[in-house]
Amino acid sequence: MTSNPRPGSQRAPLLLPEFQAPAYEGGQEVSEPMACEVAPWADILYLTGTGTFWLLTEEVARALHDAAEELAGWVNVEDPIQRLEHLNGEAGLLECFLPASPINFLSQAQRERYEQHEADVARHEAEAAEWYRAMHAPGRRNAHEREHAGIQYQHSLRARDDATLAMSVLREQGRREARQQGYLLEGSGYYGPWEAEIEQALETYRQCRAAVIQDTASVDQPGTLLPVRQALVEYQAFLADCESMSPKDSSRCAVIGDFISSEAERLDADQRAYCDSILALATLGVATPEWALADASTDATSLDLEPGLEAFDYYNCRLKEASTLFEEIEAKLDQWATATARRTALPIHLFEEERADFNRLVAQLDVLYQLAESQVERMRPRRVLFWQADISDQRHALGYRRQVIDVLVRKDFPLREFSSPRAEQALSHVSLRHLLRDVRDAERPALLRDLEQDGVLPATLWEANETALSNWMARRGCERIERRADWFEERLGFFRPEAFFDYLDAQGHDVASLRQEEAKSAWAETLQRILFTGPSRERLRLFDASAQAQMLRLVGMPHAALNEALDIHLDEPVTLIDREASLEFFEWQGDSQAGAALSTKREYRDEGSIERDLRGLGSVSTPWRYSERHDARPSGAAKLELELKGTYSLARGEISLGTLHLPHERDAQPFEAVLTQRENEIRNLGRYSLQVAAVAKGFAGATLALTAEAGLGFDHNGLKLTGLDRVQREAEGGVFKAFLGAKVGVNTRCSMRWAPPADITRQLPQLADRDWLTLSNQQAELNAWRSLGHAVLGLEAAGGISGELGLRLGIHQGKFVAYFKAKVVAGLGVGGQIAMELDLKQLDLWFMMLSQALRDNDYAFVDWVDRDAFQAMSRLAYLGATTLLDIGLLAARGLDGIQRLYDLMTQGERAGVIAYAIVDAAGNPEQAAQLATWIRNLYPEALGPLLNTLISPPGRSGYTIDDEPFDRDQAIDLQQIAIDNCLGWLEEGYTASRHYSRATAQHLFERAVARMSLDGTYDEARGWGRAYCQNRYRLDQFMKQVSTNSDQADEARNNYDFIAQRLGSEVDSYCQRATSPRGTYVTYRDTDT
Amino acid sequence: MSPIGIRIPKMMTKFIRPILLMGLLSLASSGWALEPEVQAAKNEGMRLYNIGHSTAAMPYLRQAAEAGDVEAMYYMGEAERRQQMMGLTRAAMEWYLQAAAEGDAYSMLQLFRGGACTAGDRCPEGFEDWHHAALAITQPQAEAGDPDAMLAMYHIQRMFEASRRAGEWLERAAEAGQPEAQTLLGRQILNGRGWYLTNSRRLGAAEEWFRQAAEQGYVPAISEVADVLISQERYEEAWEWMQVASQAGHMDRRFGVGWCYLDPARRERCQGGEDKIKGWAILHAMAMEASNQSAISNMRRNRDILTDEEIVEAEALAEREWIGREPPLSNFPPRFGY
Repeated sequence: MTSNPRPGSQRAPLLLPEFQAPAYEGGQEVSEPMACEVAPWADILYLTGTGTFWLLTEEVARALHDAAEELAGWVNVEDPIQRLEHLNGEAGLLECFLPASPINFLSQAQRERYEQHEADVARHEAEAAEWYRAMHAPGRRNAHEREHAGIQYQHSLRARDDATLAMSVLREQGRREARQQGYLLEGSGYYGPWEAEIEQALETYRQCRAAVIQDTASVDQPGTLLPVRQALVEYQAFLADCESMSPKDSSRCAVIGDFISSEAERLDADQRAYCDSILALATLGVATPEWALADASTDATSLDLEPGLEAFDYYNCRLKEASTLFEEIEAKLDQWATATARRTALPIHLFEEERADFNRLVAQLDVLYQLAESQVERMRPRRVLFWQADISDQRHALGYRRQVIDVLVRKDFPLREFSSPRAEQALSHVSLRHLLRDVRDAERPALLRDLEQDGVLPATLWEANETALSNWMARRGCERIERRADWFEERLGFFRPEAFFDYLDAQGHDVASLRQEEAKSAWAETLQRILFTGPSRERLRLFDASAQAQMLRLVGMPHAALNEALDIHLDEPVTLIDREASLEFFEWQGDSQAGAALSTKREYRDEGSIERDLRGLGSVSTPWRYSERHDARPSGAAKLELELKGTYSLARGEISLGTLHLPHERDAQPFEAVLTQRENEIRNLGRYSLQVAAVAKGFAGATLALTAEAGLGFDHNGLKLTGLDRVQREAEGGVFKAFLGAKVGVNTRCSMRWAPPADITRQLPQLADRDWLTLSNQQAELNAWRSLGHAVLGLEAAGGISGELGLRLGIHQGKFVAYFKAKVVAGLGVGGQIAMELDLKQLDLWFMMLSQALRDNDYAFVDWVDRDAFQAMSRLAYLGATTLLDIGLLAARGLDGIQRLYDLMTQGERAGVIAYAIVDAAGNPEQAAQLATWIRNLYPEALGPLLNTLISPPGRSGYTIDDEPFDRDQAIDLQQIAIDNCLGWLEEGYTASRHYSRATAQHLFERAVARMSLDGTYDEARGWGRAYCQNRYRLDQFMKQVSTNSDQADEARNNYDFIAQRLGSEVDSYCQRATSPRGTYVTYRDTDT
Repeated sequence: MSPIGIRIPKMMTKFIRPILLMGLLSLASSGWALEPEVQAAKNEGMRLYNIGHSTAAMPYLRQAAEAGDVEAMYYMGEAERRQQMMGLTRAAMEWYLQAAAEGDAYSMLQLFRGGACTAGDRCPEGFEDWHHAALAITQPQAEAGDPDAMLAMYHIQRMFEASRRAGEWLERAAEAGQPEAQTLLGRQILNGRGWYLTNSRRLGAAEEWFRQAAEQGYVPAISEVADVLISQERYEEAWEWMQVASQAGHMDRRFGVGWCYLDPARRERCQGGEDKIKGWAILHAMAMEASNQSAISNMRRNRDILTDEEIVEAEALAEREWIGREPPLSNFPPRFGY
């Protein structure tokens, strides 16, 4: 045994004795033992992940152990800068952490050109957005100007696309250069090999679960999945044992062994697959709800649940129930519509029933979720709870998302891990680059060649076809021993050291380091912890041999033994900060793996999608900009410091980091939008807090432990760890400005909480009749923090998050999803983005925020909402105003359900009942304020269809008796009064309540009239002016009809004339009426043409 | 001037109120009398309900409903629906179910229309759906000659989409003297029911039904007579009838009368000359008592035609003579409307 070097002490370079290797033919064959064959072997080692043992000569043993000790010493150097210098300069380990972008490989001139193009793209996009605005400016430009704007718009788009294309050409050039320098496009395979496995495992799990829920689970008969649950409980207990002891020592071994061997009798094929899929995810660090709840019963929490139930059964029952809930309601609605539709209002009780069921389900699932979370918290090893694992689940839009990353990496990862009886530690590590320094010149080419051929080892968790170290050892006279099946116990695949030692004796191998009984038994113990076959390996994954885990063990070995959970408290707080460098490197995407296909960053747009595309465009002209005034945070710098406590799990090669609050609720600052076109008025969009549970694996964990100041950062791929240490190095043809850190490798689960802005909550229609005092009493409740929904880091918003606000509302898998740039949540300087499905309970607030945004922008489009989301929100608003139902409840039905209801409620036949309800509510002091608030906040896309419904002539079917009409006159009266009421409320928004300006009321009216159609659209090709004039004429004509001599209808008609004149005064002069023998035409005439 | 035109105001004071209450009586109204304070609560509830203040009406109506008054149960259902834009809520359904259990046919029709059975699994025992139950309970009474049951048959048959049969029942009810049926029939004639050689004959036929109902003191019919007279350009008579309706609490006509005093030039039906103070007083009273939207918007528009002093005077007049007078203001909502 050699003594450990003191941390930080410099050792003399390792000098290997001259040795003339025999001619080596390559391949796997073991060369003839050398002259020392009769002498005892000095040592023996097991090479992790390869399944092979090596008998070592003294010189090789000494070389390896010395190198390993030196490396371990470097890891222990206290000064992080020195530590990294050693690990990088001498061990060459960190080279492989330096991912690069193709741009790094371009010449100076090319890089400048690239940057120029980049700036051009941004400029052209901004110009395009400006011209687009000009094209669509309401009624205040003439046709010639609009045409000019259209041409300029197209021109800007073309220029933008040219620049984008030029950028991809340069990137391709850079990639070619990189390949010549030995860099490979590897990406996720290198940094997160488990990502693909997790994705695959989740898919399997989904399929298995769907089958089981469909066929086996039952709402009424819990317990049908009992055998599965029992199996999971056993596995859990066993794996927990393995965290603190050698697997063979677990008291559960016998049970598990029995279990696995008799499995076929206990579970049918479907159940077995289901059970396996859950176990597979658990071994990959993902706890499914089943895993988390397997060993919990509801009386542990008993809040809203019946006590004494098995949580696992309960969960499955609830899911089964959830899957049928909406279908049943839809079927009933259909039945009702067939039986009784026509003039009647909706069967609200059905939605109340639905809401009650839905709320109960959600509440029950929430309790289960909390239970699952606390279970996972207690379990060892820690896993990330993946609650919404099933994307077809009604409740969730955001499922698992594999992190995709394309980076150029040096593939010759030099770390090798081995275990030997002579070493003090269970596992030792060497860097081949370190070894290379000391080998003879003649040996270097072969070693380098093998190193490159090996790539990152082991490529999979287990099987490594290692050649570099193996061939070197072979050349130095060592002997390979292949793994044999009879060294392993049959049922679970545990290693049996006695069998192995017997084999050595039988073969006559005398190993000096095994002569000491103590060392021998210690090594036997180690081998039993790292060497498995059969179920232990494939199903239970008791040891992770991957390169990433090896790297983490290199870092963690000095601190802890295998199978020992070790809490590490990082000395320095971890800094949450965006590394500019990382964004620079990674914000390119869309290049194919092969690199041959040139694709532009954004696809060419056709005319039809212009408006929507522009939402992703230019930031210059967007009316909403993210306010940075709160970013002078108390800490001084724009960074957020987090206390991180990690727990090493060396066998699994990971560090779990617990839950991070970004930021803590008490520190959260309001997210504010600056209205650039309104003298920089500020709009508060609420305060947000992101909660991230994270496990750092492999390189990521190693980095966290190694670097001087670890950082956490967001980018478009989610959370990553960044070292603040940078490495500057010259490479041929370009300068690297590399950061040290790991990009992928942090498994996360997030949720978002928010405190909505108080001024929005107070405007909610349902609070419209509360006075100031009542509202102040409710202030705490209104301003309370609440769950906004489950979040996913890094999910890309189609088309990007617009402009400078850093927020976008869209639809994903049929649900409302908000995309945030991370900086708006966690503070300036944090890159990346967060996607989150909105909690339906909060949807009315989002409706109101959007309404405010529309007003702020004079009812032009809001660039931070996708068209589909906007449309769905408009539909919901229409339904909200005509039923006074909670829009969150309506939204729970999904997009199709919303559309079906909307279709039902825009039928002309229903105009009478809708009008009656409006008039009735208007005359009811307790209802009028609420409805008025609804109407004032309706988007033109909802108010237009409402007016359109209200001018529908009473249809035949609802108003005919014996083929003759009845009640039609009264219906027309009511509809006229309802229209007058609505427009009156709209106008009161500025006359009485000062809710908004007169111009705002006018613009809302203009836009709504232009959108008087079934679906709230108008013929965009002919412009909104024409649509306004034509619809205004229709509205006027309807309001002229005198059907009865009712005095109140007379008043409504009279009053309408005045209101419409006031509200339409800006545009009416452009409308021209022409009468010809074929009828009356209305046209829109520009001033100058 | 028609002799009726002179007679009506006197006649009204005598019997309009009792008949008015009768018009509200339920087909299946329970026989027993309510405790006086419960009856008072019900009256107040109905007053509020009739002017559209359904939310405020509910605490009163609930007292009567909980005391077993079937009609109050029905109107609790109606009021509950009005809290949710006329949709059948669970709360409304519970009240209708209670009334239906007492045999109230209109409650059954509301349950049918709101999908209590098709969508809510609350079906009547022994019947496929609620309109079947209503038919079973009403038809014998109607065929036995009960005019109210005949009117109910009209609504029931409509729910079956048996429009011809519905029309027949409406005629039978009208002929049996049911004033609401007479008024409905008159309106349908105005809307195009039946074949008439000229429009004036159509008006005449409708007028005939309205007058029959009006003579029974049925206030909506009084208003309809005015309506027909306006269409016939018999403005002086129309003005008389408008006033009668207004005196009886008819919201629309009260508003028309008030507006006429304020601005007699607005329509030819205004035959009372200008009396801005009185006009304003009437509208002001309507706004105060019933928060009537037409009055409010009219006053907002016409604020400038009165001086501040005149407004003070008008408001004093309203307090003295118009606000809270009997008979109370009412929209006279149909029992079975939307």
